[in-house]
Amino acid sequence: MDFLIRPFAIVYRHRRLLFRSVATEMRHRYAGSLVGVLWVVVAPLLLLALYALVYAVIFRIRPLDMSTADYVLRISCGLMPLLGFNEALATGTTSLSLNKQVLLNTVFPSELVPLRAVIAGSASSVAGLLMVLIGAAILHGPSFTFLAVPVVLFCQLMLVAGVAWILSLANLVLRDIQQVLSFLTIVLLVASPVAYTPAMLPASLSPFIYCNPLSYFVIAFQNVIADDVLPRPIVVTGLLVLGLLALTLGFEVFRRAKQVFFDYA
Amino acid sequence: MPEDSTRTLAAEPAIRLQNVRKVYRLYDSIGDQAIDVLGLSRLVFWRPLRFREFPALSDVSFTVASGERIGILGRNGAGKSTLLKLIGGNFRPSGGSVAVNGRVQALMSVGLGFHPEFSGYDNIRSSLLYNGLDEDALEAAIADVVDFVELGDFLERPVRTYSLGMRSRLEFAAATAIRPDILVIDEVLGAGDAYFSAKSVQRMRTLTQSGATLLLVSHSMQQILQFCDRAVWLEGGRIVYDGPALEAIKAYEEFTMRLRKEAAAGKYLAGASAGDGQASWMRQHMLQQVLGGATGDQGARVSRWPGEGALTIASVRVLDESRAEARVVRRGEPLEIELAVAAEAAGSYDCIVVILLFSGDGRWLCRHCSPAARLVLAAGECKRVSLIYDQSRLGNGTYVFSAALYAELDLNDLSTARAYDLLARSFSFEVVDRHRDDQSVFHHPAVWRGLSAEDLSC
Repeated sequence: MDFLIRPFAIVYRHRRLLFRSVATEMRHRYAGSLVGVLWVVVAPLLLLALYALVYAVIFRIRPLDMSTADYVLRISCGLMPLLGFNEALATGTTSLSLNKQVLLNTVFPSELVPLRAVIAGSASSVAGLLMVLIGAAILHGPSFTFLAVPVVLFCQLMLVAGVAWILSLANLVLRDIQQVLSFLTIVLLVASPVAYTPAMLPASLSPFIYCNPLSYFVIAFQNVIADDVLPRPIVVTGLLVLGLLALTLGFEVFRRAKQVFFDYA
Repeated sequence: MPEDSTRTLAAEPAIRLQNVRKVYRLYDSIGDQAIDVLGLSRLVFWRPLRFREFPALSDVSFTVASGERIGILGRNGAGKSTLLKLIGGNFRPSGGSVAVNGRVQALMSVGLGFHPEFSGYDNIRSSLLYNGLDEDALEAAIADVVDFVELGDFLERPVRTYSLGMRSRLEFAAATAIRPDILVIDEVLGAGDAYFSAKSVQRMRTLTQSGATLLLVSHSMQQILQFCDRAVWLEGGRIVYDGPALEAIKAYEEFTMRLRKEAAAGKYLAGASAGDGQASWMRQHMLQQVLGGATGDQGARVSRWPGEGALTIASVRVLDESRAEARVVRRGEPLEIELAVAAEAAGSYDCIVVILLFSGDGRWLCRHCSPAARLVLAAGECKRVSLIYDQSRLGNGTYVFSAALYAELDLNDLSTARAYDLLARSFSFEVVDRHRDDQSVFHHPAVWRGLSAEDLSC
């Protein structure tokens, strides 16, 4: 059971260091820009506005059983976790190769480097989710299922952190990974049920949705924000298993293999 | 990690390296590197992976006691940085063991947590953050750094607008604001002007006096003498000397002088990793010469730099008032440094005698150059030349000096100097004052005015 506890233990032990260095990391990301950390809010806002414009004004498409506003809300629910996933994974992957000097010290544990990048990289999607929640509350009133949003978000953070631990190491020896990631981003965007629901697909294709790990998060967010229902058990299981598995596996790999990889940093 | 910050007992060594080896694999291609690191070499079973092994460190063993201050010498590529990396703990040796007891703060070329767009003040804060200080300690440390750097309004401006000197000042101050158990410094001291060098030195002193163990890599021999009691000299990934800092520096300086001489003569020995068998044999030979040389007076080794050799310094003696050889001289009494100059062959030689006096921590105090002379000597004849302080005005302490015979010496352009013989930092004497706790370096001759005879009657 040790391996289950270890990643949480290290986060707990260095919680204040992690918290403060996430804050610094976020300020680093936006340093030198006019509105600074406000970009965390501005970026998702612009994106949501763009999607609303495209679907509501230009394409004018919507499923028959939904209003345009509901449809935009639904798309936003899926879009935010996807964006968060992509951004956090991209920053997490390059975190070690960009922060080599941290490895020369022992005062800052190297495990925290990808982790804080992931958390800082997730900030704008969290801000976006908050906006979507406000939108949902305005459209059809607040629902108790909103309370599940942090849980789903936490599962997603676990997944990204675990994957980032492995990819950040791999990226030290194989820089191609960050290039592949940007391609993968687009694939995941298309393959996730953001703009369509599983019900819209031919029955033969719907199992494939569940092969895409991101689908669970997209569906879960749509359920608890747009549909005001709790996700089905298969989705909940998917979230927990994916999150915990990735987190513990990623941490073990990082812990055991880091010294081999640091030589190539 | 505030819980475990209590200092460990001094008896336990801060660092212990045993038979440490570090081999880097240099791959022909990124692909091969990735395959090997990821442990997938079986996937390319039809051919061996192509790489060369580069031994950065071989069989390195030494122990550093807690609170000890150690200098690390060596030419570029000798393995100094690799050694520091291993001590940092995030890098693993290929063989042997590295045991480090305490938190390591490494002060290497780049500021940890620095961002060019941030103001100096923000950078101090974010850089200190990596050290896990709690809120109160953080504020105190920031105030300390702000006080040290004396950058004034510049602290409000982005660091990218700083000059290199200002930036390194800030980085140095931030990295030394905390009290690490083990401080590792790689070539960053002495940034900025003379005023700040002196200030940095003072700051380093306080840090080392607070019990921190220090590992200092520097190409400035003076810095090493100033801070370190002991020095380790690395050459080609091996420790060739581990001992008192002064002895290490003498041997090292002599070695680099000889290499330079050989290089000037067209023999390419200088590359630290030159694969040429003959070159490495020559270097090995030179090392033995440098390290196995004769022992001079007081047990210190005489470090003879390569010279033209027609004239040599046959002996050096320090004489006291009664012209007896002495190791300890009282302040205010006469002091004489006597050289015996010998010629290999009969002839007349143009010659300038130079004596260079250093304080015990390596600071250059005095240079005495004799007037140009023409010595007519028979083969094997010894001529005695003396430098005399009629009253020794030096303060309490140990002094080290070099003695040299120059054929040509232009103090405005030292690169044209030609030496017959040069014995670097090979001799020493001690000066004692009546007052043992007098800290003066030098007692300048001076008179008081305005005090008449009756004023002094008491």
